[in-house]
Amino acid sequence: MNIPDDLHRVNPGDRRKATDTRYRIHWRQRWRQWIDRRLPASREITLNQRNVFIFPTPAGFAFIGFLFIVLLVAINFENSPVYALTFLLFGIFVVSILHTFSNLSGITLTAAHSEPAFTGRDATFHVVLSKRGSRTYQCLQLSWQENTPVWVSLIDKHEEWIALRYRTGPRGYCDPGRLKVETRYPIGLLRAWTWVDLDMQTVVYPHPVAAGHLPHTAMISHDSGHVEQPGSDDFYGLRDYQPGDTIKSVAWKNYAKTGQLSAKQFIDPVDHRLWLRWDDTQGEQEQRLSQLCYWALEAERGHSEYGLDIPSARLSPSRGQHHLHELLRALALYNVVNTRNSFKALDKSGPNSSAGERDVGLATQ
Amino acid sequence: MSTSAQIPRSSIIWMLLTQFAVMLSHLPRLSWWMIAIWLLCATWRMAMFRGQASYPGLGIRLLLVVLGCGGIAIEFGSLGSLDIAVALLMLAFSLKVIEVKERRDLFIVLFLAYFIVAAAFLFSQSLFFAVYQLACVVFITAALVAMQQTQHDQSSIRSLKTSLKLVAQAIPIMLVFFLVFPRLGPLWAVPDSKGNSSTGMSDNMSPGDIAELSRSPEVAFRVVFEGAIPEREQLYWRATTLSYFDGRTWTANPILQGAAGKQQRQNEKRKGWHTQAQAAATEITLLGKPVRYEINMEPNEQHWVFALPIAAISEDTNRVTSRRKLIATNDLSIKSKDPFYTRSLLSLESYLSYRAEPTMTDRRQRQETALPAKSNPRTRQVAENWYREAGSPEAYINKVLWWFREQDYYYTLKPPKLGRYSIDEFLFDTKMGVCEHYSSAFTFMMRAAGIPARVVIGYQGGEENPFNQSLIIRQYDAHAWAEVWLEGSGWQRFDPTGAVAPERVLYGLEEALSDRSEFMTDSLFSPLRYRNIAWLNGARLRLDALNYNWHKWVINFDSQRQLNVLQALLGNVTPIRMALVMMVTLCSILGLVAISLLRHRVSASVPAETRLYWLFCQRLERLGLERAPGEAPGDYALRVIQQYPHLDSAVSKITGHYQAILYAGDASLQTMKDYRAAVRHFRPKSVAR
Repeated sequence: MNIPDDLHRVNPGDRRKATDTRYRIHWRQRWRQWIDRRLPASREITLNQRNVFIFPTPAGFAFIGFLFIVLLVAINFENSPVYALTFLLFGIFVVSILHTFSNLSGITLTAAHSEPAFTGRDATFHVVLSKRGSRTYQCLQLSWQENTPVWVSLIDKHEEWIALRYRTGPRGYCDPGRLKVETRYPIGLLRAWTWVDLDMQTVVYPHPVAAGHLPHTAMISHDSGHVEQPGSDDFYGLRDYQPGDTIKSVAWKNYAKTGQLSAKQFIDPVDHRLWLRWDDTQGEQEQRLSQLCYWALEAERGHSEYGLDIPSARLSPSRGQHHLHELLRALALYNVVNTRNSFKALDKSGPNSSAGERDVGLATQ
Repeated sequence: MSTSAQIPRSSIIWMLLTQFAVMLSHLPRLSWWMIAIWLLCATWRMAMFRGQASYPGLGIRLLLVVLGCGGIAIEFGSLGSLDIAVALLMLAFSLKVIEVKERRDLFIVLFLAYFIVAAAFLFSQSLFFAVYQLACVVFITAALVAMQQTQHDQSSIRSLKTSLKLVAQAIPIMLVFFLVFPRLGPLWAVPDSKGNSSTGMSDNMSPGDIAELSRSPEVAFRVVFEGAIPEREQLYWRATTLSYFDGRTWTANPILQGAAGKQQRQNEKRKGWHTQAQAAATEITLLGKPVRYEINMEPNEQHWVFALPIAAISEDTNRVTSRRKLIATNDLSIKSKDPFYTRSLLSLESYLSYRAEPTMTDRRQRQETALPAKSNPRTRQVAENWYREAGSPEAYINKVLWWFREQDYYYTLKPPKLGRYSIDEFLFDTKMGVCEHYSSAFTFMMRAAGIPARVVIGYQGGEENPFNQSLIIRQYDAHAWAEVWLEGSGWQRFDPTGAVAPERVLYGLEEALSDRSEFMTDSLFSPLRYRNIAWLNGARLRLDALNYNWHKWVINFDSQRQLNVLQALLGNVTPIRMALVMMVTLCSILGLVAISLLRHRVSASVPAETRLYWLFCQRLERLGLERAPGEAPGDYALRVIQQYPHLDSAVSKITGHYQAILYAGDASLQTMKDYRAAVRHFRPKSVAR
């Protein structure tokens, strides 16, 4: 939906299209303002007459047209039962307005946790649908914008957890926008719907790109997990004396006990924690982030602790899924501003957010 | 939870079921090949449903369309008739089923089904049919509901229940609209729907015709009198007169059938009759008071109105029966300008005593005494002899009637076949017959003696229905009698059948038959055969009364009747008042529906004390103190009291009671009563008063 910068260069048709687009953008803005005022964002929304819209579907309009034809038959043939049938069908249409509305009204939508995802993959948002009382709700469709809807019914249960997928865009915060909740039950001639803003947001991690090896790959030994280098600081153990060993290194106490010459062995402790550094990467900002992302995933698969050092954040080395997510999050939010204020507060407190963090390493494969 | 948006499978079953029900209502109009196409398509669809067949290709579909249209063209020939339109509709409905893929197709099929229900009403409008059609509407709506369900939640019972609920709630709306929606005349001419009446009178009478008619128990018409029903001997429902005889068949005189001219039927007491007598100047004097009645005519594709003689058509009559123009004919009968293709209700007035055509011109006399030159010589001979012996027409008539009474004439529905001189053979040889034989012979004998006479055909008597004081006149009440013209007093009715079998006139056909087993031999299962079983007969008559009201109040509910009803309900009918009434009733109906739908229904499984506690919490919520999920009643009470100390006593009391009932098992009536009263009276305010 981009507007061409130089209008004089485009041909007239395109220009009209461009004007159309401009109007559309204008109206879309107006609409957004209006709906934001009418349906403000909230983590929990109960649907009622204030936030549910209702309108005939195309089939509903066809039905009304069809009723006119039946009415014409009744008038022209002066046939009372056909009159009655017309009015009965009209009555069904009118009553179904209430039925369709009541199939949405009274239901409560609650935002649960959301699962982050890598760029271009599906983030999952969990929403709870619940009801009070014994009314039944059937065939509700939940969807983000153009995504295929998820169908839900609440008939015998009082609540239902729904996982809604959303194809993520670029790295940063992912805001799926308003959730469309729609129903055409019972007869499909009317559609009741609402656009609820459940104030849900998640983070989109950069796309991992395999570029170069982990820094200090030699340090990582996958079999033993220990990294050693002969040194002089820490006592490590004894070994048989070999000609050439210094006198100082001979374990005299041991010689006194056993009569055998042994040499004391010392090692230097090695810093085996891994630092993923901004400076070790090359290329543009996004390339660097992608590379760091890849390293983080690799490192988590390895056995050493790893930390992050980028201009905006410094995470001390650690291990585990929680750490990995924190790290990826830092990468995701590098130089990103959150447009949504309410989320930040939640973000900090959010014990929920960790609940959704599953094994991301697997998710990328 | 599911992500499927396809048509649920159950809706395919609903669609086929709906199709079956709807097609069944058109069965009389379906020819065998259309039934074949329908069943083929339905079977194919069923096979597709089971996964045994795939969607038919374009070739097969085209072939079916061509076959169907060709069949219709051959069967119906000319374009533009209603039958053709309906046949095409049925064909489309049959064929569309096999190409249903998306929801849109299913919508088309189901809308078509609704339309076919409407079309069926053009052919039949009986009460039972209407009930069946209502069931069809419920089915179609259930199919619509089934279509909206998802694959995971589909339930046929729920579809049906929802559909029933929708239809039940729509019925009040239908009634309001039916009552107040203005009835307009036809906007353009439409092809008439031909009724499917099989039996009825024809405009001529040969031996055996009425006997044939007498086998049928079909209702010809119903009558409701305003006031008492006249004596049975008066109930001669007149169709038409037959004045021309060719030796075997009596036919109507077309001149007499014509509309009477400008001259009015005179009434000595009331002026302003707008009716007609005739070009030939039938001079009529109406005497006494009229009887008023309503006739509910069954469709018979004829013009006759079976009125009692002599019916007067006033402007009033024509206004009440606004949709139908009635004509008084020269032979004292009433005709409708248009044939009765549909059931119609007419209001009439008849003067049972009258003097019609007291003087007659020679030309008219010749018309009414004409006989074929050489027919029935024996009868002619006898007639001439008797007339000479009797001396006066009255004496002669008595002589003839006496003859019928005294000779052993036999009233039977199975008279022997008559040959060339039918009247001779009947009078002197076979002596077996029904009314037509007697009236024909009687009229012939009158004419043979030079007395103007004619045969009148119509119905006589009728079955009284005590439940709505109506008379039901059936085809077997068909009758023929004679009218004789006497100088000075005009046309007089004589019923020779009454002389042979007086029971026929007094009690009806069954009583008159010498052999009862002849009665309704063709209708073994007709409830009429079991009239001796009291409850069955009662039920039958009650149903008939219901049917009569159905026709009176629903089928014949036209603008005039609508105005009458509205005036009775609202007084003065003004558009504003109508609109107001409509709005108010509609809003109240919808309000009730909304309440029933949106009411916060608490499931019955929740015990009373919990429900009361919820109410208590709800009232506290208004103060901004919401009970947290899972918060114990005690903790909640403490929190409330902390914030609103003035509520201490009430909150403690209610919570205490609730805890006592819930945890201590205190189920005594007194506690419950106190608890209930406390909650009911709990109206918390944020500040102490």
